[in-house]
Amino acid sequence: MQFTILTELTRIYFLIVILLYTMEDYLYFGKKSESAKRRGFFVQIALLYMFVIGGFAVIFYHHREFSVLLFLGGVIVYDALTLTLFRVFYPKCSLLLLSNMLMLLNIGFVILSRLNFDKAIKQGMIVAAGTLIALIIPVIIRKLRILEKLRGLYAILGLGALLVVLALAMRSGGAKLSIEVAGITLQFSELVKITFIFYMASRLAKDRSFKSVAVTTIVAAVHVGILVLSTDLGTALVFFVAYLVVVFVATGRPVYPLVGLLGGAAASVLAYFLFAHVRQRVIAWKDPFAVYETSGYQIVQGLFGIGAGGWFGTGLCEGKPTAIPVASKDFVFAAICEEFGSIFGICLLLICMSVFLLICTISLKLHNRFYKLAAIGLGAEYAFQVFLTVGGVTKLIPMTGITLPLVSYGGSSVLSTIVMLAIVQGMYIRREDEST
Amino acid sequence: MKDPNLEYPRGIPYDEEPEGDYEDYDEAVRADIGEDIRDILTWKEERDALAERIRPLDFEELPPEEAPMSNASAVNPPPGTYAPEAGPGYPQGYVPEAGPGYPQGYAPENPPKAYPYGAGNLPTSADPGDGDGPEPPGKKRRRTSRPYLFVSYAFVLIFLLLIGNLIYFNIKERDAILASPYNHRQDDLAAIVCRGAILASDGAELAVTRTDELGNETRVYPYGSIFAHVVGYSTNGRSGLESTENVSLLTSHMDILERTERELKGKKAAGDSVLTTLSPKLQQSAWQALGERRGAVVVLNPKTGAVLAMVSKPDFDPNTIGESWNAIVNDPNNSCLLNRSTQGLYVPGSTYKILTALAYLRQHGSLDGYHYTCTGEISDGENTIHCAGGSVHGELDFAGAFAVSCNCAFSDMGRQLGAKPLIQVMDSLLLGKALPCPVLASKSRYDLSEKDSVFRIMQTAFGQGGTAVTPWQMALIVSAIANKGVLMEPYLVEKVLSTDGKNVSSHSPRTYRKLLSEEEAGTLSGLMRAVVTGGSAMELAGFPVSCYGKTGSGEFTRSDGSRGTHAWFVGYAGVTEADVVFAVIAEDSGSGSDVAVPIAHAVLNAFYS
Repeated sequence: MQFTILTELTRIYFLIVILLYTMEDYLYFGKKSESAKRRGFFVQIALLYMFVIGGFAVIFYHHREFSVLLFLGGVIVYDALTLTLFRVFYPKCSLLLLSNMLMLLNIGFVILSRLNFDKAIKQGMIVAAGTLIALIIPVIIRKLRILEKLRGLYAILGLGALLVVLALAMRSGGAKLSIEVAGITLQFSELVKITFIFYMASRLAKDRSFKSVAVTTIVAAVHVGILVLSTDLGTALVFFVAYLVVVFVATGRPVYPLVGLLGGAAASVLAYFLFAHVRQRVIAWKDPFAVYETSGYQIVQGLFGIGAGGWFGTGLCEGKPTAIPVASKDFVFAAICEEFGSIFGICLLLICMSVFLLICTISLKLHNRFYKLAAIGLGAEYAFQVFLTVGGVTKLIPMTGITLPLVSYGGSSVLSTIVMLAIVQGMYIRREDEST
Repeated sequence: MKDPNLEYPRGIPYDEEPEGDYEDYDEAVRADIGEDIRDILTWKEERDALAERIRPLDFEELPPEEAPMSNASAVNPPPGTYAPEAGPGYPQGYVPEAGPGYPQGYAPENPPKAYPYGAGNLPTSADPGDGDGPEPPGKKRRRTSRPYLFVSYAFVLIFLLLIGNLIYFNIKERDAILASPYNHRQDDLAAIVCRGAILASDGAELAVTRTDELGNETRVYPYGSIFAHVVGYSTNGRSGLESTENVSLLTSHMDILERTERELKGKKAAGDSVLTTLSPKLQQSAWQALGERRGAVVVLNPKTGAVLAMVSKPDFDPNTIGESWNAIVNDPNNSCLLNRSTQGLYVPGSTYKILTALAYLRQHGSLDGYHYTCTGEISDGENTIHCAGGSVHGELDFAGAFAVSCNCAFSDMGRQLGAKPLIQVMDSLLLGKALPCPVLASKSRYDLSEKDSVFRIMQTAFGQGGTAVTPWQMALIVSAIANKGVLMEPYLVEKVLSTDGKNVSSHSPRTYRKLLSEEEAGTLSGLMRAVVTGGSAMELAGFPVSCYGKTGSGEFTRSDGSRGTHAWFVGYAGVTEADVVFAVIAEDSGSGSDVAVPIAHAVLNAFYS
C-alpha cells in the first residue's frame, strides 16, 4: 500500500535534516568557543542519526525485510563506536571532520541499501575494517617524524603498484584494473593516491629548486602516464591536478601550474585523437541522445533520474534509480538526486566542500612544510574527485568513471578516502600540538 | 627596485627556511579554524596592508617563502623588547646588536615610516616576551599562504560551478529531459495517477480518461481524428501534446487529504488537466475546408504566439490507434502519423517571394523605383524560367510584380542580388535553424551557397531551387511580419490545472526574437495587402476585415516522374492590428489562388463569425 502523504512527509523530513546539517557545517566556521563547536557537533550527530534511522525505516517499509533493520543496527553501532573511539583516543581530533565523514558514509549506506542491499552490507564491512585501520593512523602521523624522509619508498611503492595495474590492464584489454582478494576488489590506484602525495610533499618540502621540481615532474608524469595507458583516465586526471596544486603551493610560482595546464591541455587533445575510448566519452558528453543506444545510455539515464527527482526528489524508494547503470558507483549522485532531490544534492556538495575547506584550513595552520603540502594535496585530490564524478553525472564535463568519495560503493575507494581523512585527522591533531 | 644599501648579515641562509617546526615565529596563531575562514575572506585587505608596511624595507622583491624570518627579525626589532636567545631560527653565533639593529650599511631614509610598528600599532594579541619580530609572524605566514588560499578559492569556485550547473539543469533543461521520448520513468506514475484531461481553449475535452466500475481506463478523444496530430495519442508510444505534456498529465496536484482519502479507498489520484490554446471552431473549419486533400493548416495569434489550430491530413483516429497501429506502420505509403504542419517539408513556391522581397529591401533600402518588363520568360544560358500559366505581365513595379507573383521579375531580382543577401535573409528568418515549437518540428532547409550558379540563385529567388519549408516555418515568418517584426514564442498550453481547479502553472506570452524591423514588416505588409486587393488572392478582397497574404504554387516531381504543384497561401488578417495568422498548404492540388485561398477564407469566416 502506497500513501502519497507518507512520501511527502519523508521528503520533507530528509530535506529538513540535510538542510540543518549543512547549515551546522558552515556555522562551525564562525564559532569561536570550543563549547559552541561541541554543541554544533552534537546537533550534527543527532541529525545524522535522524537521517540514517529515517532512511532505513523507509526502506524497511517498502521491502519488509528484517535484514534491513539488522543492518541499521549495525550502522548505528558503527557510528557510535567510531565517534567514541576517535574521541577517546584522540580528544583533540576535528569533530567536524569526524561528523562529515560519518554523514557521507551514512548517506552512502542508505542509498546503497536502497539500490542493492548486498553491496551495502559489503560496503559496511569494508568501512568498518577501514575505520579500524584509520584509528591508528593519526598517532603515526603525529609521532612518526621519519614519514617526511621516505620519499624513495613512496615513489617505489606507488610506481610498483601502478605497474601491477598496468599489467592487469594489458592482460584484460583495459577492462579490469583491480585484483580480487578474498572477495574484496583492490584497486591499487586508489591507494597510490596517498603515496603519490606523500612523495611530492616530502621532496618539495625540503627542496624547492628547479631541479627538485623537475624530478617531481618526471615521477608524476610516470604515474600519470601509467594510468593513462591503463585507461584509468579519471584517476590520471586526479593525479595530474594534485601534482599541479602541490607544485604551485610548494614553490609559490604560478608559472609551474600554468605551464602544467598548457601541457595538460595539449596532452588531452593528443589523447582525444589517439584513444578511441577518450573520443567515445567526449561524443557521449556532447550529445548523449545521439548515441543513446551505446555510450550515451548511462549519462541519459542519469539525467532522467536527476530530472525525475527535480528539486525535492521522488521520495526514497519511490524513484527508479536502478534504471541507471552502475548507479551504486559512478552514478550514485544521480540516484541521490532522483530520490532525495536536487536540493539534497546541493547540500551534499556543500558538505563535500566543507570537508575540503577544513582540509585547507588545517593545511594553512600547520607549520611543518611536509604536512602542509601533504594536506593540501590530499584535499585537492578529494575535491577534484567530487568535481569529476558530479560534473560527469550532471553533464558538465565528460564522464571519467570516478566514484563519489565515501558515498559510492567501492572497497578501495572508500578505504583510501577513510585513510586519507584519518591522515588529515592526524595532521589536525599535530597542529593542535604545534599551537600549544 | 632592490635597495642597494640593503645588505644582509652574512652566514644566514636566506633561500631556505631553517629546518624544524619554527614554533618561535608562530606565537600568535590561534587554534581556531573559523579565523582562517575569515582570513580567507579578507586576505586581500591583509595583503595590501602588509605590502604597505613592507614596501619601505623593500622586502617585496623577495619571493614570499624566501623572506628570511631570522633576518627580518634582525632588521627592525622594537627597541628594548628584543632579546633573542639562540633559538632555532638563528644561526649560532649571530647576536643582533642592541638598538635599532639595522644591518650594517642599511640606513633607512625614513625610519618612522619604515618602522612597521609605530606607537599604538603594536600587535596586542602577541604574547609578550615571545620574541616578537617587527615583521609579525602571522603576517609573514599569510604571505606564504597565498598559494594555499588561491587553491582553496579555485576549488570553492569549482564546487559553486557544480552547484550552479545543477540549478541550471533543474530550471532550464529538466522539462526537455522529462519530455524525452526515451524517458520511461514517468510511466510508473500511471500506476498511481489517473491521466489528466487535455482541454480546448473553451474547456471542451480533447482527450480524457474514463474509468469504468472495474477500474479499467480508456483514453477517449471526443473529436476523433480532427485533433489527431496536435493532441496525439498515448498508446503505442506517445505523440503531440500527449507526449510533451505527459509529465503534467501524470502529476497530481490534488489536495493531499483528498488524495489520501482516495488512496485509502484504493482509487488513483486524478492527474492535472492541460488547458490548451486550441479552438475547436477553427480546427473544425480548417479540417473540413481541407477536405480529402493531403495538407496542413496552421493558425496562430501573432500577438501572443498562441497556436489556435493545427490540422494535418491524412489523419488517424486516436481512439482506435491501438487496433489500427500495425496496419499503419506496416504500410509504407501511409504517412498519416506525420504531423505535416510542423514536420512536412515542401517547396515554398511563390510564398518564398516574401523572402526575396525582404532581401531586395535590405539591399536597396526601398522598393521605390523598381520596375521590370515581363515577357513571360527569362533565360540564363540554356536554362529558361517561365511565368506561371504562360502569362506575360508586361510593365511592373515592385508591388505589382509581388501581387501577380511574376516569376521572371523575381528571378531577375535574384540574379541582381546574388546569393549572399538571400542567404542572410534566410538565416535571419530561421530557415535551417531549430524553430521554437511546442510539438515535434522539422528544420526547414535551403540549398544555396555563394559558389552556386546564377541559375540556381534565380530558381531559389522565385521559390524553387533546393529550398524546403514546413508550414510552421511560413506561419512563424508571417507571424513576425504581422507583429511588427517580433516573433512571439509559440505555445499550446495556456494553463495546467489541478482537478479541483487550482492553477498549477500558466503561460505568459513572451518574445522569442525580433526577426525583422518594424519598417521592413510594414513594407512587406503593404506588398501582401496588394496581393489581396489586386493580385492572386482577390477572392478575399471583399472580406470585411483587411487580409494580407501571399499565394504560392510549389512545383515538385511526383514519384512517377510527372510534375505537380502544392497550393500555398500564407497570410494574416486584422482590423488595425493583426488578429490571426494562417499558413495553408494543400498537396498536389493545383494553384494557391484556386485551392489554398478558399481554405484560408473558410478559416477566416470561422474566426470572425
